[in-house]
Amino acid sequence: MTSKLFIEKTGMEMFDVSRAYGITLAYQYQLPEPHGSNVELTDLHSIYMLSYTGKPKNDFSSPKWLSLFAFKEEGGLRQAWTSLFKTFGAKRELSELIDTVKYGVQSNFPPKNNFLRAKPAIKKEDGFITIPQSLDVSAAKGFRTEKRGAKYTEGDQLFSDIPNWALACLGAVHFCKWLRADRQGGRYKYTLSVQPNPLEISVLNHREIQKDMNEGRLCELSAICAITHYAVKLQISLLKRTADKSKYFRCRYSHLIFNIMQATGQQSKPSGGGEFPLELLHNIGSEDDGQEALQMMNEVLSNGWRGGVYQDMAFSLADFLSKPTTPSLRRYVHTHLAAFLNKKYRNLYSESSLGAVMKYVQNV
Amino acid sequence: MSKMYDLFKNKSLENFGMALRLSIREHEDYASLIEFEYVEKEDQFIQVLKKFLRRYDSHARVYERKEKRGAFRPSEADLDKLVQLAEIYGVDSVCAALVSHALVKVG
Repeated sequence: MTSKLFIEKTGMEMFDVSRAYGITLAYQYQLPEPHGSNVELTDLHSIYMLSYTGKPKNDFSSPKWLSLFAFKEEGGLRQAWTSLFKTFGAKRELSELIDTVKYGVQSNFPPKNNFLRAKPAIKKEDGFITIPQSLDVSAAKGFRTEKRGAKYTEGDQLFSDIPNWALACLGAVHFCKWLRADRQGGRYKYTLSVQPNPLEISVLNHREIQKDMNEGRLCELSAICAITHYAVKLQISLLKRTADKSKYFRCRYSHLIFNIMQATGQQSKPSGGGEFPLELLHNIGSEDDGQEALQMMNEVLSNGWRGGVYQDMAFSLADFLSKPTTPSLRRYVHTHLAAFLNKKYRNLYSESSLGAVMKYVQNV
Repeated sequence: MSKMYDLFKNKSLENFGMALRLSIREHEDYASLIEFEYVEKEDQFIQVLKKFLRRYDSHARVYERKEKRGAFRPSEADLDKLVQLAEIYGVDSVCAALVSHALVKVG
């Protein structure tokens, strides 16, 4: 019999999707096999819905469960934990924070009445903890208060109850792609976290996709280059995994959710966040020679680090993918052609693969 | 369907695109490429087309003398159609589609 658990959204996209992934992961690890492999997550607009079979064991001492909170170098989790808790600085030890996550998840597992509700507060109360900007930038500055009379203020820092905060941290560490990039004199210029919003996924298939996403590097020239490169790699991975029709594969994403922090003199500041649509790349991938076009885009973005014309190509391609209009297409074609004519870059699109891209250029 | 795709797949534009591709890759006619990149108005577009065809024709005649066979040339009908497309879709879009053809692989 299939049970359902509902995760209410707060409106902070990164926080909500991380909570959803966090609770999904907790169920995957607490349900006995084969039920743990059958956990599915669906986005129903105002809520997420978790579907599962079986009953969770509530075994919090098993090595498998404890591995979720490991922060050694294996698997890159240390980078994820340190990036997530970057803004706590020296105020609290990393191990202490991770313990807070562990006990926070365990204290409200399984959620009562199969319903997970979070009510972020603007005042810190007992049992509440700061939502760091690395988890959701809108929590750091809050939602701006309306302009009334002579007063206009930024929003207040938001706090969350510990169980929801812990689930969000768990989901963010395990499912977000964390990137601290463009190192200058020992300091990183920006920190990016990005993950796909689950339209409907099976957690097992999602983890296979995540494994593909962890291979290779993203183009670090700018946050938007990294986000578009992630989107291209995601679409290539989805096409590869769904090509084998004999295997059941359930993974559909609606868009990417991202969070950017920029380094300043003293500390990181929220720089941006939001959604990146996947529709364009999904449409290109579904065309006959679309996969060839995606591979070419992946190669262009992967070579951006080489600087010069490669950097120009990566920037213009990222610009085109985030805003596929005729002017941005012209800029990208110009830079790619210039690189080819200067004998710096030898690869070109076939007519059919470029046609696949042209089909989805917006009419401006 | 995007209008860029309609333009890209238009036969007359494809023929001109092929001519531009040959012109750039075989004869390094970067002047035509730059002119197509920056043209904005229809009357300027006609001038750019005229200059491109003159340069292309001179390269084609050299080729024909050397190889003793006919070179590829866009037809008069292709030229009429291209100008019509520029009137309907705009110079920007037509040039973007033209230059895109210069980016594709041969064969």
